[in-house]
Amino acid sequence: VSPLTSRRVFGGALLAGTGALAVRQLCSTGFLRDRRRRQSRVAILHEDSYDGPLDRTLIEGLRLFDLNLRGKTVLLKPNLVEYIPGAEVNTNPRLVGAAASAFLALGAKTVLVGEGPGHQRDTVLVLAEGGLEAELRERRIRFVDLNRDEIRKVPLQTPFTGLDCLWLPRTVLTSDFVVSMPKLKTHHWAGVTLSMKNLFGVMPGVAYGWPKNLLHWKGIDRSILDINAAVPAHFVIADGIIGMEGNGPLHGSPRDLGRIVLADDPVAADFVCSRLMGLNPLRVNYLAQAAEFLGNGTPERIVHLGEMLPATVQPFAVLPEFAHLHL
Amino acid sequence: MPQLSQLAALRFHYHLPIVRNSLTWMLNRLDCPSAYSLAWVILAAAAYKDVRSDVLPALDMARDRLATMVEDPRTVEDTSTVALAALALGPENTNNPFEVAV
Repeated sequence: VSPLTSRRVFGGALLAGTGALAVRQLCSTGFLRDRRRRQSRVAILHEDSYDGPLDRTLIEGLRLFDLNLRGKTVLLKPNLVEYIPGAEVNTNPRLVGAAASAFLALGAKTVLVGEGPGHQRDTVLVLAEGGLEAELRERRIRFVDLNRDEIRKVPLQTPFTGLDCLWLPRTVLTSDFVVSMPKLKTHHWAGVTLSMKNLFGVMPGVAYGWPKNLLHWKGIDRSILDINAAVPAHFVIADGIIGMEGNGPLHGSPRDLGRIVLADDPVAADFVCSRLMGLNPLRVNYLAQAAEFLGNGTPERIVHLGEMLPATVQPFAVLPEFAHLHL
Repeated sequence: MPQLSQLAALRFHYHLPIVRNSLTWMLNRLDCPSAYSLAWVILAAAAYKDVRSDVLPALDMARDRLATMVEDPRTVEDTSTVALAALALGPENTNNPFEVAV
């Protein structure tokens, strides 16, 4: 039995009891590598609308992190699910365009935008109807359909789904700097969908079908953990200018929040975003588990470079089965 | 667009309001910006060309648009779009290329 197989079998047995405690045990027994850095950085930026000076806001926000982008290929991964007129489903195209220009202004060699929508097979249609196609054309930014990109097999080092490997798009694997750009939304199965859940969209439809069936069967929480361990996003730009509350990620209600969240750690980003939404991240299963090995969730390990979290927030509405998420 | 292949399969249920309304909705989508979806619109509409008079002119218009969109197949990254477009732009006497002849 190979070490990888025994790790998976042992890890799977421990995870039968699932939860953060099981993950902690996996780390303490050496079956799971603790990847957390000493500190993570998050910047909450104020921006009231998508008509504001987004390019300038993002450049100033990114400068707080002193990123070394010189000569790098940056891949922006927005959340494009499908286009529903009047609904705030997707990461706003103006924010994606502004992020692309900001990374180029800060020295990136190339900026690509890539996504593999989970529901809608016709990626071109989602791009065109949602306005991203026009935005990227105007800024001369190339889009890559991750559902149909060339794919490569990557062995899994984490045991959550029990899969041996993941098939991943070449564009994701060859990019120097992957940026997850979620929209802050509630999610009818996972509780919240933020930067970590957003990486479901890098999984290629040509390998996993629509809506990435195999991974849904293996469990959303478990898949999120394996995907994020295999494809760690280097940075997060979360669209919280208008989020979605209630029956997300498609049929909820728009919620004005007026914030953009930047972070150099997806776990820290999602903890802060959850708190901005008035939800307790430690009660979101995959976030509580991720904070044991993937990234930082505890406030003492998160440095705020922008605004601090507000003392009080009006919580996002959630479906009744997620009422326990409220702070 | 699985819904459109289902609509093509419902050709012999045209008397149902939901089928008629779906066809009307689809014929109002000829300005679709995607070659993949437009090809599905053509394939589904072709099944109804003998039952409704506005289908044939709509099909002509849609085929012209699609032919322009895929004029240079090298610009279409997705091979399934090229394949669907080839079916949709195929011989006009074909009602439904997915139909099984018995």
